[in-house]
Amino acid sequence: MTQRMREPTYFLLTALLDEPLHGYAIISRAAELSGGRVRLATGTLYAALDRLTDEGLVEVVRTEIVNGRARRYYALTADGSTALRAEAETMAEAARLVIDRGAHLRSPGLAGGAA
Amino acid sequence: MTTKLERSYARLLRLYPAGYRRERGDEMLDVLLASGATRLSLRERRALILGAARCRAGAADRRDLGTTWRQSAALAAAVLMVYGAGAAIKVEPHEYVPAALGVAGILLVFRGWMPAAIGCVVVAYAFPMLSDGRLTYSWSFEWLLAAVLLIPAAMRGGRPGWRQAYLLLLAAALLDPSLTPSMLQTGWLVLLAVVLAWTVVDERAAIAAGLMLTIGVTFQTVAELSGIDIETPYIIMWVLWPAAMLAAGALVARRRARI
Repeated sequence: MTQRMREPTYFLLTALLDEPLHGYAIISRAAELSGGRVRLATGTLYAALDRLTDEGLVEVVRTEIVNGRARRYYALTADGSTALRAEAETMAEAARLVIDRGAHLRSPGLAGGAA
Repeated sequence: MTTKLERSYARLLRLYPAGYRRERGDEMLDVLLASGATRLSLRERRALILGAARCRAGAADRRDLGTTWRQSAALAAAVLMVYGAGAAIKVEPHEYVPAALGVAGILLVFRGWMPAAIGCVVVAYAFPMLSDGRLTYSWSFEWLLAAVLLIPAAMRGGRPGWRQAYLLLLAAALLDPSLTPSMLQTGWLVLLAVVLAWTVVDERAAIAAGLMLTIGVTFQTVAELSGIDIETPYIIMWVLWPAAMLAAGALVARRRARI
């Protein structure tokens, strides 16, 4: 199985599932959803947003001016939702291979216990 | 009021190309300030420097693996043409026609006219033999290797951008006597180390350098076939360096090909 999506990209797109978000909100939401594992630096975030916009997975839906500076809101496109769902399903299938089998196994400590 | 931190961020953002800064600068500054950090973290600094370097090198876009390799091969071919043109001018008597064909070939590569570029390098290889009626092969294999490296881009596309033209400087690795390939030549080792390190910005540099350095293997093979003894360390060097470059470039290219 080849994972096509990098982990930061996955959480970035997941952060946009519920509503359009601006840059800093994407960083916060991705960190929250990943349990703090994915902490996007600003340079990394914008490189990813540029790439995802070019790929047609994310789009700018509105721009606000806050403190005299532009604040863009990003949303998932239909292609972005499809790609995210496909990635999630691939990961879920891979996870099921272990979890379903795990239901029939004892914990490692007991598996080799006294016969 | 502009704070010291804001000025630090603004200074780092100035590393990005002006066009990108106009489009994104304010927004990025807004995000950096929104974090509430009191000082510039190493992580943010590193990401901004790397992001700016990638933008300037034209390496920020995502490319599929095939495109990366075809562009790198075309770049390696262009580098070999610089070497071929330089070598043609250095010899006595000067061979201006192959040199001019090499320069034309480089321009054609960056314009994306690969079949015409292949034509140029093939003629550049054959010209000295045709002009003086020699019935033997030429040792200027760089032209032939360039032609081979251009074939994938000619068939499936893979024009390198003008912004990657700085990689033509790699030809110095073969042309500059102070960088004469040697296991212990400091200049040569430093140059290759820089190219390897540059992989974090643009993996095409390492792949192009690796492909370009296969010219060494080509020379060694022909020399062996011609009965000329080559010292083992040289053979190892000409195999290991390209292999290291290609492995590093391939690893990064594979990762960058993902979304």
